[in-house]
Amino acid sequence: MLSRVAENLFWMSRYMERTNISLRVLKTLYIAHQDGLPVRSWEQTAHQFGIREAENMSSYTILKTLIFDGNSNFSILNNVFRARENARSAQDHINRELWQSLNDYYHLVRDSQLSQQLIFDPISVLDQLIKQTMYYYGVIDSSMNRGEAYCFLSLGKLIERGMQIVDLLKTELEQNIHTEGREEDQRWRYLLIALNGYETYLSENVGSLEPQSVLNQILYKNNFPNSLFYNWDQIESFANFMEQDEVDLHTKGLNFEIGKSFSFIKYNQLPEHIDHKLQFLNTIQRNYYNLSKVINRDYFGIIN
Amino acid sequence: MIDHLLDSYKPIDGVYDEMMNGVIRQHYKKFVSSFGKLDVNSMELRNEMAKKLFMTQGITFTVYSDGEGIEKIFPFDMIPRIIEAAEWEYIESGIRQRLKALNIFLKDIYHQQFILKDGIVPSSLIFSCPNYLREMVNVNVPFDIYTHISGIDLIRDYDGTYYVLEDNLRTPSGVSYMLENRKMSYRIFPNILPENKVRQVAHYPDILVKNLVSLGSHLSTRPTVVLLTPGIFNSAYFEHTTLARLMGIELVEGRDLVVQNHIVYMRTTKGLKKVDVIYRRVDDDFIDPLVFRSDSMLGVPGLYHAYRKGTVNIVNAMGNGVADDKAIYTYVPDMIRYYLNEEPILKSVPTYRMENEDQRKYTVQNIRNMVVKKTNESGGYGMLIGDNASDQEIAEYICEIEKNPRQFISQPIIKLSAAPCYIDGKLQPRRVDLRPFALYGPDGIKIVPGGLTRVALKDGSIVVNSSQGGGSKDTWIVD
Repeated sequence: MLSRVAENLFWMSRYMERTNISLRVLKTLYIAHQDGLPVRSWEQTAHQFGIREAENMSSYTILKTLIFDGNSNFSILNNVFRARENARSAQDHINRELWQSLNDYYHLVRDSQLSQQLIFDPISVLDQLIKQTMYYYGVIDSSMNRGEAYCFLSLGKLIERGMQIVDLLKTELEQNIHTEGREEDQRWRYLLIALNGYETYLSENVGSLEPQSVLNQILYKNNFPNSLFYNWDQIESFANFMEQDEVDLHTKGLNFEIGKSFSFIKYNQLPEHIDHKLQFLNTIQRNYYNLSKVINRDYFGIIN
Repeated sequence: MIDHLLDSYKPIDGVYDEMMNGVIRQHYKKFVSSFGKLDVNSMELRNEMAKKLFMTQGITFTVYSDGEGIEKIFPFDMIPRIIEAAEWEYIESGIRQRLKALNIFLKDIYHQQFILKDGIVPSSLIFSCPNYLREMVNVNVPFDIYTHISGIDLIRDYDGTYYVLEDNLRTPSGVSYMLENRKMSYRIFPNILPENKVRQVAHYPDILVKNLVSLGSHLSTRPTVVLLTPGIFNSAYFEHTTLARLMGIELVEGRDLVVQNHIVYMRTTKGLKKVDVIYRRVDDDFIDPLVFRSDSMLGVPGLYHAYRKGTVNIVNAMGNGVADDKAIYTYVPDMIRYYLNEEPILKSVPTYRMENEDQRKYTVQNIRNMVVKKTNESGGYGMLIGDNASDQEIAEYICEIEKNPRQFISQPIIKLSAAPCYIDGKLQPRRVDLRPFALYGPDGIKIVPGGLTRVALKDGSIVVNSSQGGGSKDTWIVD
């Protein structure tokens, strides 16, 4: 496969996973506000997504900007647009259904009716967009050939997901420092909801919501698809898959980086103190960056 | 049912109508009867469905502004243009003959130049042609084939006679619309295609890839074929991706290719991989910045010399523009007689060269009945249609001609046949042309039965180019 095409697929996948997680976080945030338990102010969220001067903006305006504004660099519209542009350059390596699912997504997020619906029913709007993301993943899962293209799509998705989760965890921990632990439990609850892990948590921790247990689930639970352990485990599986003759994409650098990073999570416990926790998460984040660098160097021919 | 749609159809006076000749023509009858069974209310829905399908399937070209693309579709008219098989065979044999002659012409003018020495074509015309590439002189192209993929534009005059309007021998586009229009037809009119026994066009990519592979057979037992695109900003990018996908070949951009020791490689995730055949959709000017335009980022440095050395085959060959120059077009019938010793099967539109004083004078005197075109422009740009232009436009245009007469030719205004189109809830006649696509490989010339029918959707217009408000329709060849 062409290096450029592999890079396009990798980034297409990253933008789509970024869209997926952003939408879920926005939905949870909106619900939390409606519940009267704001886990984070809209202004803070706007800043997090790169919107400056959000002080006088209403929640509706912020939400609209975050989803539909083409001028906002990190909006859902721009993510989908970039994913589609990457897909456009790699169209001969993805199947038609996948291209159409992205194309449909792009037209959906540009639909003026949908942005108008946001005024009175934001949840349905977010649900529609989340469903379209699920459709995109469904198409990949059910129809993409398990070859090179699939490897780069999967690596892009896993790396982006891992980085997003680390970011969310760091935000929650930093928030905790600023609020001195007030309403801490509620924030972790909404984080679990955003990551589709609340029901799993409840089934195993009946009647208690302990921040440490939530952190353990998001970091170490090996059957929770949004845990960092699971994430690195999947990355390692892909590295093994890439060694197979049919794919033949094995490189020593990739294996070393994955092995080292996975071991860090596997054989280290989350420290007690909050500053050490943040350092721990920073190391994991650095490991994702290093893995991206190796992929850039070995497969895309990009040397930083 | 929808008989009233047909009853209200009024052909244009003095123009050949593809469907009607007082009564419905024989080869349209079956379609008209199937069409008549449809529910009138469904017509608008079908029309909307076609538009929506083009958009949702991404069969679009993108106009970029402010970093974001604006999606545009090439307008599609759902009523097919139907051609009977006997007529198609005549068209096919005419195109074959023409292409054979043009291909020999290209070999000749880049080698011995017999046609110039024998005075059939004036040397001045060739050497003043901006598309004549001195870099191609004495370059031996594999299998002596220059015009691997061509699109020949045909029109019909008031009496139904076919004329060649122009030959597109460089990087003709539109074939993906031929394929997509057919898919659209069977979505809009289920079961009507098999009922009408319409000949298939879907095998075009199979023939093309077979040709491309055989064009590299002298370089490798399993030649690597790629399609070179200028990139996503090109208006024909959809076509490039469609063809690459349907042929199962890599779609590369200039930056994906690298030349080392006169061998072309592509950069892959597993290192460099040798390339044997390049189906390029990049114009000559941009293909190699070391030889042609040095400011171009679209091509591949060193590609020309690799080609010249014979380590890679480029499809279509470089320098073909000299054969589809509008001033050279005048001489194609003479080429056919000279090289093949045959009478041309397809007629050419009478063409006057503006560098000839008498012909220029005649054109100026009769300008209201003439179309004046620039010799190296396409897409309907730089054209003056005499009966449609203002006095001032004509005066300005004549000034331009006087400044550089070699750049212009004129032709009498051909009426262009009309075919029924579904516009504003009615069947209305609109002017059409036809671009069949021919593939020239080591095994000969193959033409898929059909082509792209372009239609001037504006009332009264005879310009079918998409850039000038034109659209397209499916073309059915029926027995």
